Amino acid sequence: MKTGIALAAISLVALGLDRLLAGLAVDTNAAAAFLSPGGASVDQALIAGVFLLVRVGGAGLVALTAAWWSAALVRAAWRAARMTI
Amino acid sequence: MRRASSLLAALIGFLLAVRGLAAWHGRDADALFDGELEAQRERARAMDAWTGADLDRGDFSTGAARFDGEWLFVTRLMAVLGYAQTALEHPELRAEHAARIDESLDAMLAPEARAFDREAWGRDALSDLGGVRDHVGYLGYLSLALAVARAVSPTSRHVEMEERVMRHLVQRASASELGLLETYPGEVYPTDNTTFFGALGVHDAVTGEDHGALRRRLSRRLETRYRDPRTGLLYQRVDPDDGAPLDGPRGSGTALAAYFLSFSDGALSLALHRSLRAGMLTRTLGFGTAREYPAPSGGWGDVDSGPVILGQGVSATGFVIGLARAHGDRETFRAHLATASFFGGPVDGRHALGGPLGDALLFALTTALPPSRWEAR
Repeated sequence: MKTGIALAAISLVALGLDRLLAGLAVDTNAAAAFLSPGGASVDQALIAGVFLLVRVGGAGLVALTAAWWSAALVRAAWRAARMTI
Repeated sequence: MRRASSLLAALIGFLLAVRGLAAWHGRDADALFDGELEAQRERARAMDAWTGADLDRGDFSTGAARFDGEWLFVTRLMAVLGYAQTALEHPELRAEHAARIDESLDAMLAPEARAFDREAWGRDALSDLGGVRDHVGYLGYLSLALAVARAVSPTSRHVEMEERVMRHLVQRASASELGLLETYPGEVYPTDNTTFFGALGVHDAVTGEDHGALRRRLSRRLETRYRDPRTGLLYQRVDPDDGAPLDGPRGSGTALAAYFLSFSDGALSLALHRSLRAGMLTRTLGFGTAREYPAPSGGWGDVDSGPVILGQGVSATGFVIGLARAHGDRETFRAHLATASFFGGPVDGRHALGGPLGDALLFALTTALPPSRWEAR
Protein backbone atom coordinates (compact mmCIF):
# COMPACT_ATOMS: atom_id res chain seq x y z
CA MET A 1 0.00 0.00 0.00
CA LYS A 2 2.82 2.38 0.91
CA THR A 3 4.43 1.79 -2.51
CA GLY A 4 1.17 2.63 -4.29
CA ILE A 5 0.69 5.84 -2.32
CA ALA A 6 4.30 6.85 -2.89
CA LEU A 7 3.98 6.21 -6.63
CA ALA A 8 0.78 8.25 -6.78
CA ALA A 9 2.40 11.09 -4.83
CA ILE A 10 5.49 11.16 -7.05
CA SER A 11 3.26 11.09 -10.15
CA LEU A 12 1.34 14.12 -8.88
CA VAL A 13 4.58 16.00 -8.18
CA ALA A 14 5.82 15.12 -11.69
CA LEU A 15 2.58 16.42 -13.22
CA GLY A 16 2.91 19.69 -11.31
CA LEU A 17 6.56 20.03 -12.29
CA ASP A 18 5.63 19.26 -15.89
CA ARG A 19 3.17 22.17 -15.96
CA LEU A 20 5.73 24.50 -14.43
CA LEU A 21 8.46 23.47 -16.88
CA ALA A 22 6.13 23.79 -19.88
CA GLY A 23 5.43 27.43 -18.94
CA LEU A 24 9.14 28.08 -18.40
CA ALA A 25 9.98 26.45 -21.74
CA VAL A 26 7.52 28.73 -23.57
CA ASP A 27 8.89 31.83 -21.80
CA THR A 28 12.51 30.98 -22.66
CA ASN A 29 11.83 29.59 -26.17
CA ALA A 30 13.45 26.32 -25.11
CA ALA A 31 12.11 24.81 -28.35
CA ALA A 32 15.28 26.12 -29.99
CA ALA A 33 17.18 23.32 -28.25
CA PHE A 34 14.90 20.73 -29.74
CA LEU A 35 14.47 22.14 -33.24
CA SER A 36 18.00 23.44 -33.73
CA PRO A 37 20.36 21.91 -31.17
CA GLY A 38 23.40 23.67 -32.64
CA GLY A 39 22.14 27.15 -31.93
CA ALA A 40 20.44 26.89 -28.55
CA SER A 41 21.84 28.37 -25.34
CA VAL A 42 22.76 26.17 -22.39
CA ASP A 43 19.69 27.41 -20.48
CA GLN A 44 17.36 26.53 -23.35
CA ALA A 45 18.92 23.10 -23.77
CA LEU A 46 18.71 22.41 -20.05
CA ILE A 47 15.06 23.44 -19.78
CA ALA A 48 14.07 21.49 -22.90
CA GLY A 49 15.94 18.41 -21.67
CA VAL A 50 14.44 18.51 -18.17
CA PHE A 51 10.98 19.17 -19.62
CA LEU A 52 11.17 16.13 -21.89
CA LEU A 53 12.60 13.99 -19.10
CA VAL A 54 9.84 15.01 -16.70
CA ARG A 55 7.14 14.63 -19.33
CA VAL A 56 8.16 11.16 -20.48
CA GLY A 57 9.19 10.07 -16.99
CA GLY A 58 5.98 11.46 -15.50
CA ALA A 59 3.87 9.62 -18.06
CA GLY A 60 5.76 6.44 -17.25
CA LEU A 61 5.15 6.99 -13.55
CA VAL A 62 1.43 7.52 -14.10
CA ALA A 63 1.26 4.27 -16.08
CA LEU A 64 3.28 2.41 -13.43
CA THR A 65 1.03 3.75 -10.69
CA ALA A 66 -2.02 2.53 -12.57
CA ALA A 67 -0.36 -0.86 -13.06
CA TRP A 68 0.53 -1.14 -9.35
CA TRP A 69 -2.98 -0.25 -8.21
CA SER A 70 -4.57 -2.61 -10.73
CA ALA A 71 -2.46 -5.50 -9.46
CA ALA A 72 -3.15 -4.49 -5.83
CA LEU A 73 -6.90 -4.51 -6.50
CA VAL A 74 -6.72 -8.01 -7.99
CA ARG A 75 -4.64 -9.25 -5.06
CA ALA A 76 -7.19 -7.78 -2.65
CA ALA A 77 -10.00 -9.47 -4.59
CA TRP A 78 -8.18 -12.81 -4.34
CA ARG A 79 -7.77 -12.37 -0.56
CA ALA A 80 -11.42 -11.48 -0.18
CA ALA A 81 -12.46 -14.52 -2.23
CA ARG A 82 -10.25 -16.84 -0.14
CA MET A 83 -11.73 -15.49 3.10
CA THR A 84 -15.26 -15.98 1.75
CA ILE A 85 -14.49 -19.58 0.80
CA MET B 1 -3.03 -18.38 -10.95
CA ARG B 2 -3.12 -15.58 -8.39
CA ARG B 3 0.27 -14.26 -9.51
CA ALA B 4 -0.68 -14.50 -13.18
CA SER B 5 -3.92 -12.59 -12.68
CA SER B 6 -2.07 -9.85 -10.76
CA LEU B 7 0.45 -9.52 -13.58
CA LEU B 8 -2.34 -9.41 -16.15
CA ALA B 9 -4.15 -6.74 -14.16
CA ALA B 10 -0.93 -4.71 -13.92
CA LEU B 11 -0.47 -4.95 -17.68
CA ILE B 12 -4.06 -3.93 -18.37
CA GLY B 13 -3.75 -1.04 -15.89
CA PHE B 14 -0.53 0.12 -17.57
CA LEU B 15 -2.01 0.01 -21.08
CA LEU B 16 -5.23 1.73 -20.03
CA ALA B 17 -3.23 4.49 -18.34
CA VAL B 18 -1.22 5.10 -21.52
CA ARG B 19 -4.48 5.11 -23.50
CA GLY B 20 -5.88 7.59 -20.98
CA LEU B 21 -2.83 9.82 -21.41
CA ALA B 22 -3.41 9.83 -25.16
CA ALA B 23 -7.05 10.78 -24.63
CA TRP B 24 -5.98 13.56 -22.23
CA HIS B 25 -3.44 14.97 -24.66
CA GLY B 26 -5.92 14.75 -27.50
CA ARG B 27 -8.74 16.35 -25.52
CA ASP B 28 -8.80 19.50 -27.70
CA ALA B 29 -8.87 17.45 -30.88
CA ASP B 30 -12.62 17.33 -31.38
CA ALA B 31 -13.07 21.06 -30.81
CA LEU B 32 -10.31 21.82 -33.33
CA PHE B 33 -11.47 19.19 -35.80
CA ASP B 34 -15.00 20.60 -35.67
CA GLY B 35 -13.61 24.11 -36.12
CA GLU B 36 -15.02 25.54 -32.91
CA LEU B 37 -14.49 29.27 -32.77
CA GLU B 38 -12.92 29.42 -29.30
CA ALA B 39 -10.46 26.60 -30.01
CA GLN B 40 -9.29 28.35 -33.18
CA ARG B 41 -9.20 31.72 -31.45
CA GLU B 42 -6.84 30.36 -28.81
CA ARG B 43 -4.45 29.19 -31.53
CA ALA B 44 -4.71 32.54 -33.30
CA ARG B 45 -4.01 34.48 -30.09
CA ALA B 46 -0.92 32.35 -29.47
CA MET B 47 0.21 33.12 -33.02
CA ASP B 48 -0.37 36.85 -32.44
CA ALA B 49 2.47 36.81 -29.93
CA TRP B 50 4.89 35.60 -32.61
CA THR B 51 3.43 37.80 -35.37
CA GLY B 52 3.93 40.83 -33.15
CA ALA B 53 7.43 39.79 -32.11
CA ASP B 54 10.45 41.14 -33.92
CA LEU B 55 11.62 37.75 -35.20
CA ASP B 56 14.74 37.40 -37.29
CA ARG B 57 17.03 34.63 -38.54
CA GLY B 58 18.83 34.60 -35.19
CA ASP B 59 15.70 33.20 -33.52
CA PHE B 60 16.13 29.89 -35.37
CA SER B 61 19.85 29.05 -35.27
CA THR B 62 19.70 25.82 -37.23
CA GLY B 63 23.43 26.09 -37.83
CA ALA B 64 22.98 27.19 -41.48
CA ALA B 65 21.99 30.73 -42.44
CA ARG B 66 19.91 29.50 -45.38
CA PHE B 67 17.81 27.22 -43.21
CA ASP B 68 17.40 29.95 -40.58
CA GLY B 69 15.98 32.18 -43.30
CA GLU B 70 13.76 29.42 -44.65
CA TRP B 71 12.34 28.66 -41.20
CA LEU B 72 11.61 32.31 -40.49
CA PHE B 73 9.90 32.61 -43.87
CA VAL B 74 7.85 29.42 -43.40
CA THR B 75 6.82 30.65 -39.94
CA ARG B 76 5.29 33.73 -41.60
CA LEU B 77 3.65 31.62 -44.33
CA MET B 78 2.05 29.26 -41.83
CA ALA B 79 0.81 32.24 -39.83
CA VAL B 80 -0.86 33.60 -42.98
CA LEU B 81 -2.43 30.22 -43.77
CA GLY B 82 -3.70 29.82 -40.21
CA TYR B 83 -5.19 33.33 -40.11
CA ALA B 84 -6.75 32.88 -43.56
CA GLN B 85 -8.24 29.46 -42.85
CA THR B 86 -9.78 30.61 -39.57
CA ALA B 87 -11.06 33.83 -41.14
CA LEU B 88 -12.78 31.87 -43.89
CA GLU B 89 -14.25 29.41 -41.40
CA HIS B 90 -15.42 32.18 -39.05
CA PRO B 91 -16.25 35.38 -40.95
CA GLU B 92 -16.38 37.31 -37.64
CA LEU B 93 -12.57 36.92 -37.49
CA ARG B 94 -12.06 38.23 -41.00
CA ALA B 95 -11.27 41.89 -40.29
CA GLU B 96 -8.89 41.15 -37.42
CA HIS B 97 -7.13 38.35 -39.25
CA ALA B 98 -6.89 40.28 -42.52
CA ALA B 99 -4.81 42.86 -40.63
CA ARG B 100 -2.57 40.12 -39.22
CA ILE B 101 -2.20 38.62 -42.69
CA ASP B 102 -1.11 41.97 -44.13
CA GLU B 103 1.40 42.35 -41.30
CA SER B 104 2.83 38.88 -42.00
CA LEU B 105 2.96 39.51 -45.75
CA ASP B 106 4.86 42.75 -45.17
CA ALA B 107 7.40 40.72 -43.20
CA MET B 108 7.58 38.07 -45.95
CA LEU B 109 8.21 40.74 -48.57
CA ALA B 110 10.90 42.57 -46.59
CA PRO B 111 14.45 42.47 -48.05
CA GLU B 112 15.75 40.51 -45.04
CA ALA B 113 13.07 37.84 -45.59
CA ARG B 114 14.27 37.46 -49.19
CA ALA B 115 17.91 37.17 -48.15
CA PHE B 116 18.09 33.35 -47.97
CA ASP B 117 16.87 33.09 -51.56
CA ARG B 118 19.00 36.01 -52.77
CA GLU B 119 22.13 34.45 -51.27
CA ALA B 120 21.45 31.19 -53.11
CA TRP B 121 20.61 32.71 -56.49
CA GLY B 122 22.87 35.75 -56.33
CA ARG B 123 19.81 37.72 -57.49
CA ASP B 124 16.80 39.14 -55.75
CA ALA B 125 13.57 37.21 -56.40
CA LEU B 126 11.37 40.29 -56.78
CA SER B 127 13.83 41.94 -59.18
CA ASP B 128 13.78 38.73 -61.20
CA LEU B 129 10.00 38.68 -61.69
CA GLY B 130 9.34 38.18 -65.40
CA GLY B 131 12.86 36.81 -65.89
CA VAL B 132 14.21 33.31 -66.41
CA ARG B 133 15.04 32.33 -62.82
CA ASP B 134 12.42 30.33 -60.97
CA HIS B 135 13.06 31.21 -57.27
CA VAL B 136 10.28 28.79 -56.29
CA GLY B 137 11.77 28.36 -52.81
CA TYR B 138 10.77 31.96 -52.13
CA LEU B 139 8.17 32.84 -54.76
CA GLY B 140 6.23 29.56 -54.54
CA TYR B 141 5.64 29.91 -50.81
CA LEU B 142 4.99 33.63 -51.21
CA SER B 143 2.44 32.96 -53.96
CA LEU B 144 0.41 30.72 -51.67
CA ALA B 145 0.43 33.32 -48.90
CA LEU B 146 -0.59 36.07 -51.33
CA ALA B 147 -3.33 33.96 -52.92
CA VAL B 148 -5.01 32.98 -49.64
CA ALA B 149 -4.68 36.61 -48.48
CA ARG B 150 -6.61 37.63 -51.58
CA ALA B 151 -9.23 34.99 -50.83
CA VAL B 152 -9.77 36.60 -47.41
CA SER B 153 -9.53 40.18 -48.58
CA PRO B 154 -10.06 40.65 -52.35
CA THR B 155 -9.08 44.31 -52.13
CA SER B 156 -5.92 43.70 -50.09
CA ARG B 157 -3.02 46.06 -50.77
CA HIS B 158 -1.02 42.96 -51.76
CA VAL B 159 -3.23 42.09 -54.75
CA GLU B 160 -0.89 43.67 -57.27
CA MET B 161 2.06 41.70 -55.91
CA GLU B 162 -0.02 38.52 -56.04
CA GLU B 163 -0.69 39.11 -59.73
CA ARG B 164 2.99 39.77 -60.49
CA VAL B 165 4.25 36.72 -58.64
CA MET B 166 1.59 34.48 -60.16
CA ARG B 167 2.33 35.73 -63.68
CA HIS B 168 6.02 34.94 -63.23
CA LEU B 169 5.42 31.43 -61.90
CA VAL B 170 2.78 30.62 -64.53
CA GLN B 171 5.18 31.72 -67.25
CA ARG B 172 8.05 29.66 -65.79
CA ALA B 173 5.88 26.57 -65.21
CA SER B 174 4.42 26.74 -68.72
CA ALA B 175 7.95 26.71 -70.12
CA SER B 176 9.18 23.89 -67.89
CA GLU B 177 9.60 20.49 -69.51
CA LEU B 178 9.96 18.84 -66.11
CA GLY B 179 6.76 20.40 -64.83
CA LEU B 180 8.77 21.57 -61.84
CA LEU B 181 10.65 24.75 -61.04
CA GLU B 182 13.99 25.21 -59.32
CA THR B 183 14.10 26.09 -55.65
CA TYR B 184 17.74 27.13 -55.91
CA PRO B 185 20.08 26.88 -58.92
CA GLY B 186 20.36 23.19 -59.78
CA GLU B 187 18.02 22.10 -56.98
CA VAL B 188 14.48 20.85 -57.64
CA TYR B 189 12.13 19.71 -54.88
CA PRO B 190 8.58 18.57 -55.78
CA THR B 191 7.24 19.67 -52.39
CA ASP B 192 8.36 23.29 -52.88
CA ASN B 193 6.54 23.31 -56.23
CA THR B 194 3.26 22.26 -54.66
CA THR B 195 3.08 25.64 -52.91
CA PHE B 196 2.67 27.23 -56.32
CA PHE B 197 0.24 24.52 -57.52
CA GLY B 198 -1.90 25.25 -54.45
CA ALA B 199 -1.64 28.99 -54.98
CA LEU B 200 -2.69 28.75 -58.62
CA GLY B 201 -5.87 26.92 -57.65
CA VAL B 202 -6.77 29.57 -55.09
CA HIS B 203 -5.87 32.32 -57.58
CA ASP B 204 -8.22 30.87 -60.20
CA ALA B 205 -11.02 30.44 -57.69
CA VAL B 206 -10.68 34.02 -56.44
CA THR B 207 -10.17 35.80 -59.77
CA GLY B 208 -12.23 33.62 -62.09
CA GLU B 209 -9.20 33.15 -64.35
CA ASP B 210 -8.73 29.71 -65.85
CA HIS B 211 -5.35 27.99 -65.67
CA GLY B 212 -7.07 24.61 -65.69
CA ALA B 213 -4.95 23.17 -68.49
CA LEU B 214 -1.69 24.13 -66.81
CA ARG B 215 -2.89 22.91 -63.41
CA ARG B 216 -3.93 19.57 -64.87
CA ARG B 217 -0.58 19.20 -66.62
CA LEU B 218 1.37 20.01 -63.47
CA SER B 219 -0.71 17.64 -61.33
CA ARG B 220 -0.41 14.85 -63.88
CA ARG B 221 3.38 15.26 -64.06
CA LEU B 222 3.59 15.19 -60.30
CA GLU B 223 1.48 12.06 -60.15
CA THR B 224 3.15 10.13 -62.94
CA ARG B 225 6.81 11.18 -62.70
CA TYR B 226 7.50 12.20 -59.15
CA ARG B 227 5.49 9.66 -57.13
CA ASP B 228 7.27 6.49 -56.15
CA PRO B 229 5.28 3.65 -57.79
CA ARG B 230 5.80 1.30 -54.83
CA THR B 231 4.75 3.59 -51.98
CA GLY B 232 2.79 6.33 -53.75
CA LEU B 233 4.90 8.92 -51.92
CA LEU B 234 6.63 11.89 -53.54
CA TYR B 235 10.36 11.92 -54.14
CA GLN B 236 12.04 14.49 -51.96
CA ARG B 237 14.45 15.79 -54.60
CA VAL B 238 14.81 15.25 -58.35
CA ASP B 239 17.44 15.88 -61.00
CA PRO B 240 17.00 19.32 -62.64
CA ASP B 241 18.06 17.92 -66.03
CA ASP B 242 15.88 14.84 -66.44
CA GLY B 243 13.64 14.71 -63.34
CA ALA B 244 15.17 11.43 -62.12
CA PRO B 245 14.87 10.97 -58.35
CA LEU B 246 17.94 12.07 -56.39
CA ASP B 247 16.43 11.17 -53.02
CA GLY B 248 13.94 8.53 -51.99
CA PRO B 249 10.26 9.04 -51.20
CA ARG B 250 9.76 10.67 -47.81
CA GLY B 251 6.95 11.08 -45.31
CA SER B 252 7.52 14.73 -44.38
CA GLY B 253 7.74 16.00 -47.96
CA THR B 254 4.73 14.01 -49.09
CA ALA B 255 2.56 15.09 -46.16
CA LEU B 256 3.45 18.76 -46.56
CA ALA B 257 2.93 18.60 -50.32
CA ALA B 258 -0.45 16.94 -49.85
CA TYR B 259 -1.45 19.79 -47.53
CA PHE B 260 -0.40 22.41 -50.10
CA LEU B 261 -2.20 20.50 -52.85
CA SER B 262 -5.40 20.53 -50.81
CA PHE B 263 -5.73 24.19 -51.89
CA SER B 264 -6.08 23.26 -55.55
CA ASP B 265 -6.23 19.55 -56.29
CA GLY B 266 -8.26 17.73 -53.65
CA ALA B 267 -8.12 14.41 -55.47
CA LEU B 268 -4.32 14.28 -55.65
CA SER B 269 -4.03 15.51 -52.07
CA LEU B 270 -6.36 12.73 -50.95
CA ALA B 271 -4.46 10.13 -52.97
CA LEU B 272 -1.22 11.14 -51.22
CA HIS B 273 -2.98 11.04 -47.85
CA ARG B 274 -4.15 7.51 -48.63
CA SER B 275 -0.62 6.46 -49.59
CA LEU B 276 0.64 7.79 -46.26
CA ARG B 277 -2.13 5.98 -44.40
CA ALA B 278 -1.41 2.75 -46.23
CA GLY B 279 2.25 2.44 -45.37
CA MET B 280 3.52 5.21 -43.12
CA LEU B 281 1.10 5.86 -40.25
CA THR B 282 1.13 3.98 -36.98
CA ARG B 283 -1.25 4.26 -34.04
CA THR B 284 -0.10 2.99 -30.66
CA LEU B 285 -2.49 3.19 -27.70
CA GLY B 286 -4.06 6.38 -29.02
CA PHE B 287 -0.82 8.11 -30.09
CA GLY B 288 -0.33 8.54 -33.84
CA THR B 289 3.03 8.79 -35.60
CA ALA B 290 4.28 8.80 -39.19
CA ARG B 291 7.40 7.20 -40.61
CA GLU B 292 9.86 9.47 -42.39
CA TYR B 293 11.28 6.74 -44.65
CA PRO B 294 9.12 3.91 -46.01
CA ALA B 295 9.99 0.51 -44.56
CA PRO B 296 12.39 -1.18 -44.75
CA SER B 297 14.62 1.85 -45.39
CA GLY B 298 15.58 4.19 -42.55
CA GLY B 299 17.71 7.18 -41.65
CA TRP B 300 18.43 9.76 -38.99
CA GLY B 301 16.56 12.60 -40.61
CA ASP B 302 17.60 16.07 -41.69
CA VAL B 303 16.51 19.67 -41.43
CA ASP B 304 13.23 18.88 -43.25
CA SER B 305 12.24 15.77 -41.32
CA GLY B 306 13.36 16.88 -37.86
CA PRO B 307 14.53 14.14 -35.52
CA VAL B 308 13.63 10.60 -36.59
CA ILE B 309 13.09 8.33 -33.59
CA LEU B 310 12.56 4.61 -34.14
CA GLY B 311 11.74 5.38 -37.76
CA GLN B 312 9.03 7.92 -36.84
CA GLY B 313 9.56 11.48 -38.07
CA VAL B 314 8.66 14.55 -36.04
CA SER B 315 7.75 16.70 -39.08
CA ALA B 316 5.83 13.94 -40.88
CA THR B 317 3.83 13.19 -37.72
CA GLY B 318 2.88 16.85 -37.40
CA PHE B 319 2.12 17.52 -41.08
CA VAL B 320 -0.38 14.65 -41.14
CA ILE B 321 -2.58 16.68 -38.75
CA GLY B 322 -3.36 19.13 -41.56
CA LEU B 323 -4.12 16.37 -44.02
CA ALA B 324 -6.36 14.58 -41.56
CA ARG B 325 -8.44 17.70 -41.01
CA ALA B 326 -8.58 18.59 -44.70
CA HIS B 327 -9.82 15.11 -45.59
CA GLY B 328 -12.18 14.55 -42.66
CA ASP B 329 -10.06 11.85 -40.99
CA ARG B 330 -11.02 12.47 -37.35
CA GLU B 331 -9.28 9.45 -35.81
CA THR B 332 -5.93 10.25 -37.42
CA PHE B 333 -6.32 13.90 -36.45
CA ARG B 334 -6.98 12.98 -32.84
CA ALA B 335 -4.10 10.50 -32.61
CA HIS B 336 -1.53 12.79 -34.20
CA LEU B 337 -2.65 15.80 -32.19
CA ALA B 338 -2.26 13.69 -29.04
CA THR B 339 1.35 12.97 -30.00
CA ALA B 340 2.03 16.60 -30.89
CA SER B 341 0.52 17.75 -27.59
CA PHE B 342 2.37 15.14 -25.54
CA PHE B 343 5.79 16.05 -26.92
CA GLY B 344 4.99 19.68 -27.72
CA GLY B 345 3.59 20.62 -24.32
CA PRO B 346 0.80 23.10 -25.13
CA VAL B 347 0.41 26.14 -22.88
CA ASP B 348 -2.47 28.43 -23.86
CA GLY B 349 -2.12 27.67 -27.56
CA ARG B 350 1.69 27.90 -27.62
CA HIS B 351 3.99 24.91 -27.19
CA ALA B 352 6.87 24.28 -24.83
CA LEU B 353 8.83 22.60 -27.59
CA GLY B 354 7.23 24.43 -30.51
CA GLY B 355 8.91 27.80 -30.82
CA PRO B 356 7.72 30.18 -33.54
CA LEU B 357 7.87 27.59 -36.32
CA GLY B 358 6.21 24.79 -34.34
CA ASP B 359 3.44 27.07 -33.11
CA ALA B 360 2.86 28.46 -36.61
CA LEU B 361 2.78 25.01 -38.18
CA LEU B 362 0.30 23.71 -35.64
CA PHE B 363 -1.85 26.82 -36.09
CA ALA B 364 -2.05 26.24 -39.85
CA LEU B 365 -2.35 22.46 -39.72
CA THR B 366 -5.02 22.22 -37.02
CA THR B 367 -7.16 24.72 -38.93
CA ALA B 368 -6.67 23.29 -42.45
CA LEU B 369 -9.80 23.50 -44.59
CA PRO B 370 -11.25 20.78 -46.81
CA PRO B 371 -10.36 21.22 -50.50
CA SER B 372 -14.02 21.91 -51.32
CA ARG B 373 -13.83 25.17 -49.30
CA TRP B 374 -11.19 26.51 -51.68
CA GLU B 375 -12.81 25.20 -54.85
CA ALA B 376 -16.17 26.64 -53.88
CA ARG B 377 -14.88 30.18 -53.62
